[in-house]
Amino acid sequence: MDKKTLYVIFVGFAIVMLAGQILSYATEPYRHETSSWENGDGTVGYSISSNTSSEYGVVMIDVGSVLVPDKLLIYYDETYEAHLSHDYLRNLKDIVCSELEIHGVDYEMVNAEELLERIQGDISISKQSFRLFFTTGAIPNILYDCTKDSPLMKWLEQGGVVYWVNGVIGRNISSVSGLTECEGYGQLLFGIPDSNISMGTEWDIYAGEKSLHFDRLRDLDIIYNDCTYGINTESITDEYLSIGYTAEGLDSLVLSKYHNGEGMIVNFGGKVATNSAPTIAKVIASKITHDSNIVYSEGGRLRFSEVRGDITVDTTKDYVLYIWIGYPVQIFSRTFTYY
Amino acid sequence: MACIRERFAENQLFSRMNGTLLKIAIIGIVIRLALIPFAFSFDASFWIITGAGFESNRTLYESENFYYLPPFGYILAVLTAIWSLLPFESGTLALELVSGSNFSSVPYTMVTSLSFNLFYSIPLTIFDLISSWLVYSIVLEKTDSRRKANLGFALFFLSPLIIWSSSIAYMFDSLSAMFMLITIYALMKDQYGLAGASLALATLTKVFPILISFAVLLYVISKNETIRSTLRNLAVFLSGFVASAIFIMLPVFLKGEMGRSLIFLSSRAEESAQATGGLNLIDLILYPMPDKIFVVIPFLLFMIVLSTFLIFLSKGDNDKKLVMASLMSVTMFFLFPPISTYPVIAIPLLALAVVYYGEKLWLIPWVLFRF
Repeated sequence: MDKKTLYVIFVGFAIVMLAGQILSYATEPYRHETSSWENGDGTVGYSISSNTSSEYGVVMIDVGSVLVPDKLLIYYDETYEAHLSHDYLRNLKDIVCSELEIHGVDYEMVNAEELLERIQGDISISKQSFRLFFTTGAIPNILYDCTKDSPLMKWLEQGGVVYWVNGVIGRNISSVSGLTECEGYGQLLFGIPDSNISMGTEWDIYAGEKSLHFDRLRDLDIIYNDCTYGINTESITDEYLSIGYTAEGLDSLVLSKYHNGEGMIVNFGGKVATNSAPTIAKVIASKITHDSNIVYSEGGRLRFSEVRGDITVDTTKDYVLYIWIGYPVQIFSRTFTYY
Repeated sequence: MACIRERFAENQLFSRMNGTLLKIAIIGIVIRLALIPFAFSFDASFWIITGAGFESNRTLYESENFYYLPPFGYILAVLTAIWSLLPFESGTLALELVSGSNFSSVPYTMVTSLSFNLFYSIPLTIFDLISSWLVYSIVLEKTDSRRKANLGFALFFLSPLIIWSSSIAYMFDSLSAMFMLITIYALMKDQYGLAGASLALATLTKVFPILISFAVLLYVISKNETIRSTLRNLAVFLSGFVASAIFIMLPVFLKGEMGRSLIFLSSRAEESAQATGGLNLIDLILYPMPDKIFVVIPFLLFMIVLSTFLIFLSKGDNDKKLVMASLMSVTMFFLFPPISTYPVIAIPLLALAVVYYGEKLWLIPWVLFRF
């Protein structure tokens, strides 16, 4: 082999890598678009297009009585203690935000003070302007004291929506100086004993058996089976949906009506990790509720063309249209609300 | 005119291929094709997830699933661009095949499709072929024996470890081996800039080729008769290395992803510390797991420097010393049980040791690395 051939091999690979750099850092070469509209004749239209050859899905969800706002507030405050280390949570924040962005979720990070202000604002107008995501495994003491009179519970009572991950829901109260544990959170949130909510174990618990309502939202392809902080739903008397998996009597993903009001609590029974963040983002993006039913589902493969369709709806009901592209890893999704 | 025809013929790869070489190449390719249904979907699924990240217009590290330095990631970006045009499924989630696992974790549950396996085996096979061809060329040039050169080609291309790495595990260690071979060959041809640039790419692809840098240093010193020419050539080598490293890392640096790109090193170091609970020599000897290697690095580096030094103190051909010192450096490091694909970079050096250096005993580690 002569010198020239060596250089040709090297330069050839350098050119491929340069192309890769341009594709991944200098341009946004992939285009995905969806839109949806009311036709005015009792149907909703939609269109999907992509410049990739990808699978897509269209799911129309009857959300029942709970109307989930678009805006998502993510609580994150390093001045307050958390159930997990702030180093972990900082990294986690990036992962979750990256996933929420591909689903087009309108999110905002807020600290404890800002969150209190926003909750009080909602309470004063008796309306929900946002939903709330807790990843810290603990709730700041200015929002929650384990009673139904605390600002967070008042907000839930009037119809707020809370997503929870990374610990025992409602158990840990955080302050700037540390964590305290409270009792009676199970009764407060779900009307069940505290012992029906798992305290966690040294090792993560992954379930293999489908839970009660697994098939109800099956077309959304939500796969979540971490039951480490799962809930035993047997004695829940409020309306709930358990769409994950179950092990040792604990359900991994439970959407339940707040026991003392109109709001909804979505409990992910594990920790956020790189691999579970896409599922969590999908649940948040699709705006599913404890009262949800899929009324229309369609899918196929996009071949660099536009797919259009119409869905007949009952105009007296509230719907969410969730459209996604990419399988088994979703690369794009958008949600259209018809409340 | 005859001269032009001759020159043209010289530059044709297939004109140089003798029948034996062609048969070895075909056998190797057939074996790789036959193994396509048995691909280890776990590692391959990371390329799917990273590709999905690209398709959602995220950078290499934004989807948090690429755990290496960028060179192969850039190649993945190009492969994804091509794959996104093809009408094939990348795979399916087979939850019924796993139990007690995290179902949300795609690598645990995914079974990659045959079309995906076939598509991604193409570049990996190309890396293997080029590396084998480099071994062949070095041996042919140095020994003038086509038989030995064929054997060298076969020792790489038909190595069970190489086949396993690129056709079952879907790992890209051959790319790192290829750039390391270009480094060695370029040094033999006094192309110091290219050698430096290639060593940077090899190291940034999978870190381990940096182990031969002391051998490279002594080789340049031994080969050059004056201090002036030694310093000049070392400067050219370093310039190539730095330029290449900047070329690779610049987008990552500008995007503020340097920390994430180094996760391969930092996570291994963390695992190492956690696995040992500090430096516990007895635990290390009784349970020499791959994730503890960073604890014994100072000792291994000392052994590498010592053996390289002793090799270059001996009499003989500098090129052979470079091959042997590189081999010793790499295999010394892998005395500690490595993760199974890491020793891929040792295979071309073992092939060179057997057929160029002429030491057939090196077939023993070649065989042992199968396991």
